[in-house]
Amino acid sequence: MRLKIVFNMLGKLLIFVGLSMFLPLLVALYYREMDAVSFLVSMGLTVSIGKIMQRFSFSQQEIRHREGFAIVTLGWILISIFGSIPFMLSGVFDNFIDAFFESVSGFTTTGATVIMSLESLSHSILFWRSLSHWLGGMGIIVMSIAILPELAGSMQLFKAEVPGPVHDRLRPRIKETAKTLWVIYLLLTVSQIILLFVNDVPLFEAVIHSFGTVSTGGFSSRTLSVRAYDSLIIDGIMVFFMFLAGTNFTLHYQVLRGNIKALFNNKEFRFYVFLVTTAIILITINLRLQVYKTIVESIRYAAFQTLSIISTAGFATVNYDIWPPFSRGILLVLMFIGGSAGSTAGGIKVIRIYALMKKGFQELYKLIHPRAVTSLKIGNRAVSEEVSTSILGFFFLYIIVFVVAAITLTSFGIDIVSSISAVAATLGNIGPGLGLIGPLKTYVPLPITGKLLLSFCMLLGRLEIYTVLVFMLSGFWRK
Amino acid sequence: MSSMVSKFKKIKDNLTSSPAYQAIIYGGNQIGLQLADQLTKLGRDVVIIDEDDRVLRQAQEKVDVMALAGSGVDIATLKQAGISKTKLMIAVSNNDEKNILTSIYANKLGVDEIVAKINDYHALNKSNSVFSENLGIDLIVNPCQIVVEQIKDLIRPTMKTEIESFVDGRVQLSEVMISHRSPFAFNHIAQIDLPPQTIIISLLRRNRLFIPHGEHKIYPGDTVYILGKKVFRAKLGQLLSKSQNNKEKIVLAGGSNINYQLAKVFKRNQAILSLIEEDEARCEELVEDLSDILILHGKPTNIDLLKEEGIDQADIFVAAGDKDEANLLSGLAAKKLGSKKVIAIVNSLEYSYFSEIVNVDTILSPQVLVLERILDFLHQGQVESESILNGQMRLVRVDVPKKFARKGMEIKDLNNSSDLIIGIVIRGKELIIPDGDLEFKEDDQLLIFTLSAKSDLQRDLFGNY
Repeated sequence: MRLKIVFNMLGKLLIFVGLSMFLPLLVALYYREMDAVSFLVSMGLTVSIGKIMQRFSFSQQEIRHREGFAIVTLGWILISIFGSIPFMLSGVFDNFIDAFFESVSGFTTTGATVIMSLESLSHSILFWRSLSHWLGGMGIIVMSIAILPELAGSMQLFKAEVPGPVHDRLRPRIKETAKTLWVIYLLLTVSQIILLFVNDVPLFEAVIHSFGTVSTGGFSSRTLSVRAYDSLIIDGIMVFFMFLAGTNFTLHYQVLRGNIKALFNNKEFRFYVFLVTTAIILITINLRLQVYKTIVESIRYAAFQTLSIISTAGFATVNYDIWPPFSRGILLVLMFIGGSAGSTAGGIKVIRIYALMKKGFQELYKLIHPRAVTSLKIGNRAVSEEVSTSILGFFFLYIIVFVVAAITLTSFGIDIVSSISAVAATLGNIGPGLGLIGPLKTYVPLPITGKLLLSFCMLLGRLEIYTVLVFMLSGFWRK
Repeated sequence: MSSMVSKFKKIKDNLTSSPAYQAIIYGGNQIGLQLADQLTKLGRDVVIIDEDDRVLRQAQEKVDVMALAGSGVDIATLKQAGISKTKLMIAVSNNDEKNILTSIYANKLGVDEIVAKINDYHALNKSNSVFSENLGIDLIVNPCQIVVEQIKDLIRPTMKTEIESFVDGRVQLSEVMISHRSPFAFNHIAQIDLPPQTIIISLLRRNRLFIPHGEHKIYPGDTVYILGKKVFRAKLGQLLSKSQNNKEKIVLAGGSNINYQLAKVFKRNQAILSLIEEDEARCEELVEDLSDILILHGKPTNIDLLKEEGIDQADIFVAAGDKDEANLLSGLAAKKLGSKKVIAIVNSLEYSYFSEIVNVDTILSPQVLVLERILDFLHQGQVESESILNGQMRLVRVDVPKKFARKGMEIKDLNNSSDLIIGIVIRGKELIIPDGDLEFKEDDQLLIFTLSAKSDLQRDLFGNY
């Protein structure tokens, strides 16, 4: 570990985040809000600390694996800490833990909130919350790779931040790949803003909701979330974009380049579509029989909630906490699955679930034919032993972290369903869970340690566990 | 503030620039990786194709390239790699046939420049020009051939005349490699008895080019670049070839392809050849194929055998067996036992930097040579015409200021700088290759050879005139 290199990079990231505070500053100036001052102060503070960190370190050497992990993990923690400064300064929270929770929740695109009433917040704070989603969605480090020339070839950082078991390159160079990803991301966001705006959503709210959807975050500008609009068209637009945000961005790229066949040939996408439609159909039937009177209503709510959970956005148009247990059960399962690899969604990822299923069946098959030589294949591509082991390990760690965190939460006296869903919702970067933290409620009632634990879960989920956990191994620090 | 602005500009350029030049490398071996590294540094996008998944993953972490699992002879893979927008194809996998086939595909799919590595010596005989002409392969590199050429150069330093020519060919640059026996060796530059109107413009030592001065000494292994008018070429040749008539005793250790080719090359050149090979069957093969050579059956690392065959009399010892370690060891032994010049061949790239540690004269790595050959080829198109010696040296025309000339200044009065030398003075139709006492006249034009990339030479030379 060469800490100086790490600090240099962290300084760069801080300067970056500090500069991004310029946007909410503009918003504050436009709406003539007092919070402009707090953004100005936080911006100055963040940038100058970043500068100081850079001054006392150097960056000539190349980043190795260890430094890569350290930079990404520490970077995300630091960014979240500095991202919480505007919340503190503008008086949204009276304690740091809440501000930190909100900030982590923003950058990791979780969307879990500890703010009771969003209507009382200023525009600039709302905008900052959503902007943190948007920056965190594709990844701050991926963005830095695209923008900063110094980082041009750092596959280590890229790998540590981009979700998914294998990392496809869209273009021969990392920098170009990162750039392409951000362009696709920007395109999706802008088209959603336009669509929402055309359908009578005020521009500011259209921006907020698009940031929340494409990054699969889920922060809204209304306490009631998307339910406040109560419009079929807006629901439809949101569903469509949540679906897109949960799709692998490599596929977006290929479709944009005219290769539509790639969609149908991609096993993960097919499995994703299969999961989404099955979940919608099952929930619709369940809802039609037990809750709603019309089939249209059932489909509408079922579709929105299903996609909101599987894409890990976490918007809500209905209080699904009052739904029958079967529907809630399906939603809980979807929380674990999450979106596709290489998307902005969280969770275990569809491709891992698919690989795990295949691996499981393969073991069964081997019992019948003990001498069979098999190879795990997804589509036409064979998954190497190394990758499949890493998938198994990931799944195991995910479940272990989930169990430990959920049990710890119950020790604070929180009921089982709430604890389980809270951990699932933060680890999967979804946001709202069930019970105590249901779609219409917030994380306010949790104790401070609980909030810290869940903040940690969000980071674990966003950086896909390995990156953070490896950092805590003793061997990592050995020279 | 200005640093901020320049930083923003850099970021903007970085965001907008999109390198269009793509190269595909087939073969993720050491050569492939090194090439990829160099190419990305030159600002080209690189896609590496290889059959082995594991190699590729390592590649992707070391170098900023896209790695594709597959075969170069699979058109689907090539298309996936984006062959339609590829300008350069380098096939350096370990399989000759696949390299050739990949090159053919690349040619048919419209790649501009194609480089292929082919190990088989027989595929490349001069008569076999089918390759480059009909298959569209621009450069074929054969590791064995390159090594043999290199060794030949080391043993029999040759003069290459007219490697560059200037002023409509009236002045030429010649390259002379200095060996132990060369009349130039161990002399100061000032002592060398060059024909008049010639000048040593630069010296290449350990891959570093510099401009020598009178007090510099020339050592064996150096390469000297001499500038002279066309007519003096013959004289220079005579001067150099004075003492090249002795027979040399060459010991080749190992019956590898390289040594086999070397034996063939030197057969007629009246050298005393002996070859040591461990494997009896191979020995018999060699005896059948080669004549005028002593084939010894035994281990090249066997010191008794070496002594017995008079290794202390040997002028050149080439260790080119299959094992790198054995080559280094036998080379070391031969050197210790008194062989004058020892060349060891190593295949692995790691050993090629051992020359500092192991006391042999030259360590040659076919891999490095192949790499250099390919890089040279790639550089060719890039280097501007006004530069020579692979772009290391630049050529600048400078007018002599009138004021300066009127004062009757001589060359030695110029501000002396160690990284440039005045090669030619053009005075009307006359060409003068100058020495220090030449007096400038009006309207003189100077042709200057310089190592630096500085643009303001005029200022440097003439000060404030």
